[in-house]
Amino acid sequence: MIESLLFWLCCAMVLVGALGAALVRNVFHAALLLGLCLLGVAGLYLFLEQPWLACVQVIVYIGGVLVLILFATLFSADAMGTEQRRRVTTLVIGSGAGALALVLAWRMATVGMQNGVGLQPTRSEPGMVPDAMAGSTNTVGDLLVGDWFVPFLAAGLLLTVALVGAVITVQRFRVRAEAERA
Amino acid sequence: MNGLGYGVDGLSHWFVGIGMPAWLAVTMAVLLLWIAPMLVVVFPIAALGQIFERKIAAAIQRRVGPNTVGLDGPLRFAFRAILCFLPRARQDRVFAAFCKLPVVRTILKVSQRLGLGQLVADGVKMLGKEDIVPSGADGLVFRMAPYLALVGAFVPFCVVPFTQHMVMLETSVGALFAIAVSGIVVVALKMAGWGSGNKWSLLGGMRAVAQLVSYEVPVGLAVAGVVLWCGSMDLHVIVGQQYQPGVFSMVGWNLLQSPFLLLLAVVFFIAGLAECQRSPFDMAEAESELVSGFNTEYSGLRWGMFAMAEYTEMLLIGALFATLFLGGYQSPLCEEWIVGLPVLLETFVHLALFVGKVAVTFLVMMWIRWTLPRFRVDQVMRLSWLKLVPICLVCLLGLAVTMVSSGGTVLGAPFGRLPASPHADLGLIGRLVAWAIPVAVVLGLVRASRKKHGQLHPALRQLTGGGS
Repeated sequence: MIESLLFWLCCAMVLVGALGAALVRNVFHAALLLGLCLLGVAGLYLFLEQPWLACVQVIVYIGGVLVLILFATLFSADAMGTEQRRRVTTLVIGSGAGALALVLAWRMATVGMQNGVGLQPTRSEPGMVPDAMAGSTNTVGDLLVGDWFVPFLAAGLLLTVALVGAVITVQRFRVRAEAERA
Repeated sequence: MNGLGYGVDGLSHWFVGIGMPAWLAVTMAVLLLWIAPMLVVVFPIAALGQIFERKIAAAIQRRVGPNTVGLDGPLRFAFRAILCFLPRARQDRVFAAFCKLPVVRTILKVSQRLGLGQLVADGVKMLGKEDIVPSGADGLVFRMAPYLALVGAFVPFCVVPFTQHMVMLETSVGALFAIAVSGIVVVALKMAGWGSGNKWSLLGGMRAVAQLVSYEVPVGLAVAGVVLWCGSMDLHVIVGQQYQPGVFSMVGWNLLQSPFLLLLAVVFFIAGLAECQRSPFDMAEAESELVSGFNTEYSGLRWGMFAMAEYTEMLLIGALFATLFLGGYQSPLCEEWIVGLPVLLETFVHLALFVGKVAVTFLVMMWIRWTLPRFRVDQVMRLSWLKLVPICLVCLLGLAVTMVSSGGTVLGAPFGRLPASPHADLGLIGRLVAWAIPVAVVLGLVRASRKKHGQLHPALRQLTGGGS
């Protein structure tokens, strides 16, 4: 009972957050609603018995990406959204993409229903033992340093390259600024 | 097995055994094991934080501090409320008679000497203040921020093992969960800074966010070092791994296992101070330059929530520090005997030990606050990215090398509950070697520095007390 309520709450968070992020004019509010959506996704991961993934979702997307977006909103010239105007092209492209996503989601849901995987929360069994949650973390860890070791390292390398690139870019700016000051 | 964890299961079984109905047994077990630690440990210390702070500040800076307001005022008020059916004169006579009892008199005298009544007075003042939302503020965001800060500060306590049985959420990702949820505070501070519609607040919020995001990296890396060493993210398992039979059970604590862990502990503590915005890292609420930053516009209860969140976060850092490095709830001496005690007594002793360890870290944080001056913004960033993070990375590498060279494996660490400790087969000689190599490296570096500069590096000279 409580579990299914929480499940639908997470769903509502995702939907309301996503819709709000797309529709609200105030950029800061839109970013906060995006955070609501991301938190809801973390909750859905918990229902899929992936606590590790849920924690990483919160660390990376709320602690990292969302905070960066909130930072960036301060540099927006029109943070309150007072001067925004709806362009017809944006409207057409946006609603087209939305319709496509809706069709895809509907298709996936119907296929899932046909295969017997309904929209039931997976943790509905009452005898959920804490140890049952331990398996998923270990499995993810084993997969990351086992079968998916090379992609995992490649992602790390990519991030390192991005970091070094950022440092070099800043360094170039700093050198130019110092030259100008001199 | 009702799926609520081992402690609750065990205790409710025991309650059923002495003739309690099942629903009451489970409720009692949950109350005792989950709610009690919050009520007995976290809330009081967080609420008392303010008065501790003032007393300790006074002691350190040789000021007076609260020393006048006793508990007789609140007590008189309580008497009048209880005896409201009597006339005022009779009430006062009963109260005076009550105060003449020797025990009550001593308590009142001590409370007045310590200024304990100040806590009540401050609380009443805070509740009585007008709740102002500035007209330029972003109403909903402004109102939501303090709640979110409290959530980020309190929820991580779910995974902290107060004693062997007192843990709400036994999960395999405990350490990660604590870091993840406490990261939500960043968003709350940003909301407070933005929502206030005040330039100072916005600047304070910016500073807070930049600082918190930077210091999450060393905190995470320090935790990663402990996780690597213990082979688990489960805080319960991490505590269990630090168990050492014998008289000197301290030897098993992570702090003393390897010099790299000692260094990581220092880094964790410093970065933790920055995470909860304590001095010397409190430039986000620098009252002299930013008019107390993100909480400028908050008054009354909402301001109180931010204050409470700050003290709760200090407690959280203390609890995590104790759990990760100081053996959690375990005793420094003769842990073997305490484990052998009857369960209730053992739980009580362990809880007292845990609270003691947290209180010591709490005290050290206050000591630091009232001793050191504040950092500058750029110095704070420099410390994190150029000092703490490299130290953490070197320590992680050192830990991995130590574990591999002593026969333990990093990638193939055994999984499951309470796995065999990877350093169990280190032995005395192995442990000596593990300490000797890094110490030798440091000594070598000092010597090289002395040879090159003719004397010690300035930083090292400062560290060793000025002698060259």
